[in-house]
Amino acid sequence: MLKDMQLVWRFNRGHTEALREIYEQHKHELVTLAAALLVDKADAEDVVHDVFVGFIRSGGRFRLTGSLKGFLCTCVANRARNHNKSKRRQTANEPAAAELAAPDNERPDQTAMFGEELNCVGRALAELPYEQREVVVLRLRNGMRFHAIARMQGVPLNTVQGRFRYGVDKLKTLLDGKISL
Amino acid sequence: MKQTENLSQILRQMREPASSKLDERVHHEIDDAATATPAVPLTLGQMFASILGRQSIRYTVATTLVLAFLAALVLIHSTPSAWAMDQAVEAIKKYRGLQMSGDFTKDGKTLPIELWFRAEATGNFVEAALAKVGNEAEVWTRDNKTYTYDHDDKMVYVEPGITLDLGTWPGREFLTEVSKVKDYRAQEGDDPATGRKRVVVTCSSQGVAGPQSFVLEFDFQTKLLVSMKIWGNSKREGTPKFDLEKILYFEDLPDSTFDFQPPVGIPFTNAPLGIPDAGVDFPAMSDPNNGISADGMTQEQACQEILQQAWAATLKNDFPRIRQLFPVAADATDESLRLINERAGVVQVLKIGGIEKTGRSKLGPLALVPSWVRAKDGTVSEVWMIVQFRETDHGTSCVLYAAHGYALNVKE
Repeated sequence: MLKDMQLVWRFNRGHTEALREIYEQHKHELVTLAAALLVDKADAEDVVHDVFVGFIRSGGRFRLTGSLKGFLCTCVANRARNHNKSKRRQTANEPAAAELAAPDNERPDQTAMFGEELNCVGRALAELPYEQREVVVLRLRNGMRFHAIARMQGVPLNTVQGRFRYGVDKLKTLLDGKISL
Repeated sequence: MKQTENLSQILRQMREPASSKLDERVHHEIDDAATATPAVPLTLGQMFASILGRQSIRYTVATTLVLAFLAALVLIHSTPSAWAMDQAVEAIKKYRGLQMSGDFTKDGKTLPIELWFRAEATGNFVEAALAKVGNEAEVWTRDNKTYTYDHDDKMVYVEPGITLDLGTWPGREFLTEVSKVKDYRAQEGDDPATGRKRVVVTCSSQGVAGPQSFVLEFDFQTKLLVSMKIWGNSKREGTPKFDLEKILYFEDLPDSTFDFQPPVGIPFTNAPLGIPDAGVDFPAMSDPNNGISADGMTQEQACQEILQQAWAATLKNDFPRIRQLFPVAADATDESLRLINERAGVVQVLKIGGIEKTGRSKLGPLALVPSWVRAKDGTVSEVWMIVQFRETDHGTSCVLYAAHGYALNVKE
C-alpha cells in the first residue's frame, strides 16, 4: 500500500518512471483479467491499453483510495463491460458478420490463451453470459466482494449473487468430467 | 463448496502475459505523456538534493560513511588565488540569520524562491529553515522535522530530521570545501551597478545526483557572499537552477520567522521514502559485488547486519569495506575517507534501531533506519540511514545509500 502511494505520488508529479513501473507491475494481471472477461486476447489488450491511456491522463490529480491493483482491475472490468456492450451492439447491427463469426469457444485466439490445461476453463467461461462471467471471474479470481461487484454493475446485491450462483453451476456442468474439481 | 474453491484456484492460475505489442503501445503513450508534462520534483528537499547532491548532509556524522564520493571529487587542492576564503569564513561568523531570494528554474519553468535560514551553534549547518517556492510549495522545519506543504496535493508531507537540502550554512566547512574544489577559480572585478569590488568564485562538483557548477559572488569589502548561482551541469551552461541574487544577513532570527502555518484543514502525512533517480543510477549502486547478501534474512535483519558492518568499518577506518557498503563512495580515495571520518569523529555505536519507514526506488525496496552514535566530544547523535535493497538474479542484497537529513544531537 505504501509502495502504491509512493508510486502514485511520483506519477502525479509527472515521473514517467513511476508510470512505467505501475504498468510493468500490473500488465500481466490486467491482461489476464481482461482476457478472462472478453475471451479475446486482442480485445483484452485494447482494453488494457485504453485503461492506461485514461490513467496516464489522470496524472497530477489522481487520488488513490485503495490498492492500485484493485483500482486498475476495476477500470479493466468497467472498460471490458463497455467494450462487450459495444461489440454486441455492433454485432447486432451486422447480422451477416455475426453469422460468419465463430462462437467464442472456438476462436483460435481464445484457444491459444491460458495454456493447454486451463483451456477448457477458458472455453467454459466463454459460454457464460457476460454478466455471469464477470461476476464469477471478479469473485473467484480477483476475490472482489459481492457488494463491490453490485456497485460496479449497477444492480442489486441479490442479482449479483444470483448471477454468481447460476454462473458457477453452469461452469461446473460444463467442466464436469473434463477437469477434476 | 469444495468445488467452488477448486474452481477459484483454477481461475487464479490463469496467466495471460501482455504481448510486446501492448508494451510498445503503452510505453509510446507514456513517452508522449512525458513530453507533454515534464517531471516536477518530489519534494522541495528532494528537489534541492537533486541539484546540490545532498551537500547538506556532508556536515553530519553520517557523512563519515556517506559522502566520501564528494570528497573524492572535491579536495586535492586549489588554484592559488589572491582571494583567501578564510576571510569570508571570518566575516560570516558574526551572523546567524540569512535570507536569500531569487529564481528557481526546473524543466524550463522559473519560479520565485525565498529562503530563510538560521545557523546552529557551530555555524556549519542550518538548524531552522523556511523556503517558499512560488505558489507551489512551502518547506519549513520545526522540532527536528521537515514539513513540505504541497499546494497541488493540498497536503503537508512530514519527514524526520532536517532534510531541507539547501540547508547548508555558508560557513566555515562549506566555504573551506569550496576553496578546495579542483576547478576552483577566484577573480576580482567591479560590479558596474554598485561600483563595489567583487570576488567571483567559480567551481563545480560531481555528486551522486549528477554534476553541478557554481558561481559565488563575494563583496570584497565585507567578504560576505552576496549572490549565488547553481547549475545542474558542470559547465554553467543554460539557465541556472538557482539564481539567488539577493542575500541578506542578520545577527539572529527569531523562531517566528520559521513559523509557517498551512491553511486550516490541510492534512499532514508522512512523506514517502525515496531517493533521486540520479542517485539510483550511480553505477556502483547496482553492482552485485557491493553491499551484503540479504538472502534468508528479513529486511529488519538485513538492515541491522549492514549497519553493524558499516559502523564497524567506519570505526576501524576500513575504507575498502566502506566503499563496498556505500557504493556512492566507490570512487573515494583513502585520504578523503580518512578526512571525513576524522571530521565526524564517531567513537562508539550505541544502538541501531528498527526500520522506521519503507519506500521504493528503481532498484527495489528502501528502508529508513536510525542509529545512535557517540562522537569524540561526547555528544550523541541520531543518524538516519537509507538502506537500498536490490532484487536481482543473484538473489536479494542490500547496500547503504546515504543519510537521510542531518544527524540530530540527542540527549542520552
